[in-house]
Amino acid sequence: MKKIYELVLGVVRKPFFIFFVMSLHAIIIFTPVAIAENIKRTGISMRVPAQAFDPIDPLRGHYLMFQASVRAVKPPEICKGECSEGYPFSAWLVPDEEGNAKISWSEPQEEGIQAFGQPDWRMTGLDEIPSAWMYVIPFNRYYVSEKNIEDLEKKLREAPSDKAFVTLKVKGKRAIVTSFDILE
Amino acid sequence: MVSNFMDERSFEIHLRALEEKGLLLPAEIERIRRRAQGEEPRAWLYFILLGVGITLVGGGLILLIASQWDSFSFITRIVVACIPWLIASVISVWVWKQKNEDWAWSEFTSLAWILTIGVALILITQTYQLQGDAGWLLWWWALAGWIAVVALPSATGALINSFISVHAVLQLISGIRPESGLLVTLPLVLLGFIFLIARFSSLAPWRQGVVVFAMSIASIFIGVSSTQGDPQSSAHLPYWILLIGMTSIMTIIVGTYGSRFIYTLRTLFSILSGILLLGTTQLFQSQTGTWFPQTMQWTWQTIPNLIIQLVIVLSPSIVYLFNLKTWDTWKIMVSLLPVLSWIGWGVGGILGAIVLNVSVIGLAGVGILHGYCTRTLSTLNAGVILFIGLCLLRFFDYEWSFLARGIAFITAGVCFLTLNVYTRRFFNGKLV
Repeated sequence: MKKIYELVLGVVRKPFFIFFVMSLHAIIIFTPVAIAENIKRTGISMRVPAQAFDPIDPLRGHYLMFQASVRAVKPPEICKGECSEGYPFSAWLVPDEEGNAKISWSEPQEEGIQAFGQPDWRMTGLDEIPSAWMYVIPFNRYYVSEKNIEDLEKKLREAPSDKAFVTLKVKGKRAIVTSFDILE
Repeated sequence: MVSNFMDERSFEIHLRALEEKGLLLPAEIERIRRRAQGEEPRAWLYFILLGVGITLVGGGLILLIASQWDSFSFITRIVVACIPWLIASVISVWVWKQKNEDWAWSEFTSLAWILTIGVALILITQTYQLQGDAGWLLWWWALAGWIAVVALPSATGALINSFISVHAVLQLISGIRPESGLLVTLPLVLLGFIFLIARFSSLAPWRQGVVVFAMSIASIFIGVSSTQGDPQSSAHLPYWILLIGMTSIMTIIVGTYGSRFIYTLRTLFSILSGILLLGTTQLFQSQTGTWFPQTMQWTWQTIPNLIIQLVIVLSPSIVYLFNLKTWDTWKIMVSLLPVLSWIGWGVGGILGAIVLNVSVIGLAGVGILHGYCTRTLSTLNAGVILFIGLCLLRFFDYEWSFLARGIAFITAGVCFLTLNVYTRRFFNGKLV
């Protein structure tokens, strides 16, 4: 154990080590930049309906909090093992011909992002079996300048459920948010 | 107060060793002993005023940059995001080459390095509107942080990295969002905060264990009650218990050893805990709607939450009143400041905000002055922690614009720096 410690200590004290550490840090910091730039330039656009979401997050900053999801009313025919009330816990959202998100119950070969199911209680009572599930994407915030955030939050809360959309760029199984639109 | 870095026994052992080796004369030994017993508190006052002043000015500058953030291009944002990391890296190289044996330089530079990597990652995430749950970000941050800790050993850095790593693991295994993960650190907050109670460290280890155990149980109640309304919250309970167990062990280890290194870590641990405490109480407010008794929705789950809040609010008053040698109106009024701040919080609105902020500033000021006058480092630390906590809350206060907050922070910082200069002049020549 002592030998291993001394060996590590010997490497740590070599002059190149600190520059090696800086290089690793640079790689860690700039990898997300490279990934995001690649998705932004070569990804496919996909629109997902969004609703206002009450954030339990006092440190949310100037972010518009939302919940973007696609609703599944009918139970899927394919339900591999892990299901609840006939619905699988997760699904994939893929872009259709017009760039709108649609559900795929199997992992797509091309572009698509994973969404997680939760019961839609709007149409049913809390003690009943839900009649629909929402497949929610793991994006819930959009940075907005401090001048516009209040106005946009208000608009989102007042907008009908089919008038607000978050637009993503999808490349493979990764995505970034590119815009948030509320139709008048 | 003996020293900032070691307890009385270790101090005496070191002093005697120097005396036996003949490195110090008896007169010098006596002088060192006198100074260690609290005859040089002014240096601490300068340090506090200078530190708070620089922190406020730095925070103000960050807020001013944030106010112009929307006018920056993509490239400028990335460059600005990386500047703090680059500065920290350059300082780290210098420290690694020149000051590697100096624990204070190594400790704080490593910490700054870790935090600036986090800042860069967070700002890049924001600039590109990357994935909101940011689980991967925590992993990358923890990895970069551990590499920094290996290069520049730092106990505080390791502690911060442990938090980040634990959050990343929780995020992976149970899907807890990062901000909910902040709630999970609550036990650490409460456990760390008890070290501010001066008598805790003098308790027998088994009594310390009982206090820590009681706080852990209270933390579980808070955890359960503050996640009410979330149907999936009960699934997080095992992780809470696991984490509370881990933090309890860590806290006992940190709290019961008495070396110079651990003493410093304990102080930093308490400061961090104080900051998190205020942040978490703010989080409670949004979790439960309100925490003011008149408007709170009463359920069995909110009762332990309220009891703990009352304990947090009233404990400074009780400790203060308990320690009073003489009773007078002014001192009793000071002891009521925590309750006043609680009422201000509950009332809300501009009047409530003024009451809250003024009473917390008053309480922090009393803590600093009382600690300074009585040479009690723990009271002085408590005052500083309270003030830093308040600054942190106002830093993230989105009711005010970045510009207004930036100007307010810089103004307050300049006031503290000016006070530092005047205090030095006032005591000039009187310092031992």
